[in-house]
Amino acid sequence: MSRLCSSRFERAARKLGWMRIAGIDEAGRGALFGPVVAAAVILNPKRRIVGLDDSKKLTSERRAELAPRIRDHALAWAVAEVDAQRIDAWNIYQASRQAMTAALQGLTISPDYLLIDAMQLDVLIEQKSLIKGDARSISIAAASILAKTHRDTRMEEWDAIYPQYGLARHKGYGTPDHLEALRRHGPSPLPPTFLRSGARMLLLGCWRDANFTANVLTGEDKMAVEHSLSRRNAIGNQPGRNIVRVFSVSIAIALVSVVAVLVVAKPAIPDSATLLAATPPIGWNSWDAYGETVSEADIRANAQWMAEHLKSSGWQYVVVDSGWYVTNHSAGTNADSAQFSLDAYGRYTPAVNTIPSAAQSRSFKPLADYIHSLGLKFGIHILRGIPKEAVRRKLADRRNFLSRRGCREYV
Amino acid sequence: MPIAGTSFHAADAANTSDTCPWNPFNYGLDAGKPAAQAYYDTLAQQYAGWGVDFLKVDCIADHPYRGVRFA
Repeated sequence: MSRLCSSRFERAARKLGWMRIAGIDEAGRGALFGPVVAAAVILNPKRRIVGLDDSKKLTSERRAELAPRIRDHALAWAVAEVDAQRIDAWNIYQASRQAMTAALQGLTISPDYLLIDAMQLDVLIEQKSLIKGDARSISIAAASILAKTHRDTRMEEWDAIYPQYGLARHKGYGTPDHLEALRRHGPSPLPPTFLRSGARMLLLGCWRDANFTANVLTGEDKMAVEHSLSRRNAIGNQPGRNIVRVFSVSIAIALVSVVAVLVVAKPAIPDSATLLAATPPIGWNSWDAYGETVSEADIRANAQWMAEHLKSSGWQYVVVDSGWYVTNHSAGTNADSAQFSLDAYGRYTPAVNTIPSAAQSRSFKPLADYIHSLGLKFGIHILRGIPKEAVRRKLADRRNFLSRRGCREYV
Repeated sequence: MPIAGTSFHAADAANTSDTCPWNPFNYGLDAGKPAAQAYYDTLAQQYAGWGVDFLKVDCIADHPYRGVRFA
């Protein structure tokens, strides 16, 4: 069998009557940083693109030449990415599949046949999985080029924000200079949506674990087998789907399905606010062990322990629960006789006898700064509503106001 | 007490008939009053200034449904 990258798989599919053949591939599966990116491309058989091949065999300059031509000549294309947080939550194999599925769903023309690089997708579309498909099928090669160039652009964007890691150079793969930069600068400035667990393990000195992770990644590639589903296409012939050409940037950013995979046709800094969280918030809440009696020293000690022992497993929130504004805890939990620390605008402020660093109107800022310095996030408990005390004091305010204006008759 | 940056007072925001069944500290806010939104806006500004990343907002989910949003 020829190993050259050609249109033989596409031609064979067309002989069987398939019309809209999408190639699908991913990039970034073996990286320590950043998203895994997948692309889906339906090439136009009437517009040949010379030089399509496995993106890894091409220079970055050649990829940069080919990518716009692919986007211009293709009948449809879409790119999807799954961020590092979700890669850690799902594992890289599932994350790659989700990215591929999302890219597929991002196509504005429904394909009726899929050529996929070493993966099967759980969709009712006729599909063929090809080992080293990016070097054998021009459709998969085109997808590999779009995925790779998209991911590289993304890494360059991150590099502009965090230049100390050399991301533009190594693109987030575990090259020696990359690992050295990680050790030297630490991971803390990097958002969790960006740094994968393999990198965190490296930083903890768990070299064997990190190598194990890398081995798993390569192993999974080998595990995939050539497979062709005989099920008929279920979504390719849906009425109402426009058979139109996708012009290069019309898709912009769209969220696909409940898995919150970001699908883009245009590079952009990821907007984490638009993504669903992969896990509930994970962290420590002061109530469970301390109730209202927690002290600032307790909070700091627990935060420090969390940073040292649990942060690497995804723990990040340090939450000060109810009672932080009560000045007389001896009154008991939720007591009517509680007294409060309030500012001049009827807002609770931390009681200085509980949070000493809050003195001189610094409130929670010093404690929050400390929690942040550990690379953790800071949370507080509040009760819905407004302090009764603030409402009660309105009368006093009004009395003072009126008396200042000489309106004693109204008091 | 005044609500920061407004001419409202705390009493303009409160719904004094709405209290938490297990905690006596607060009145609920009357979601129909602009002062209520103004008060929460000042809380959000204050918390952002402190560097708060996460809020655990209590006494929200254990009431029977009353057809209006709790505030």
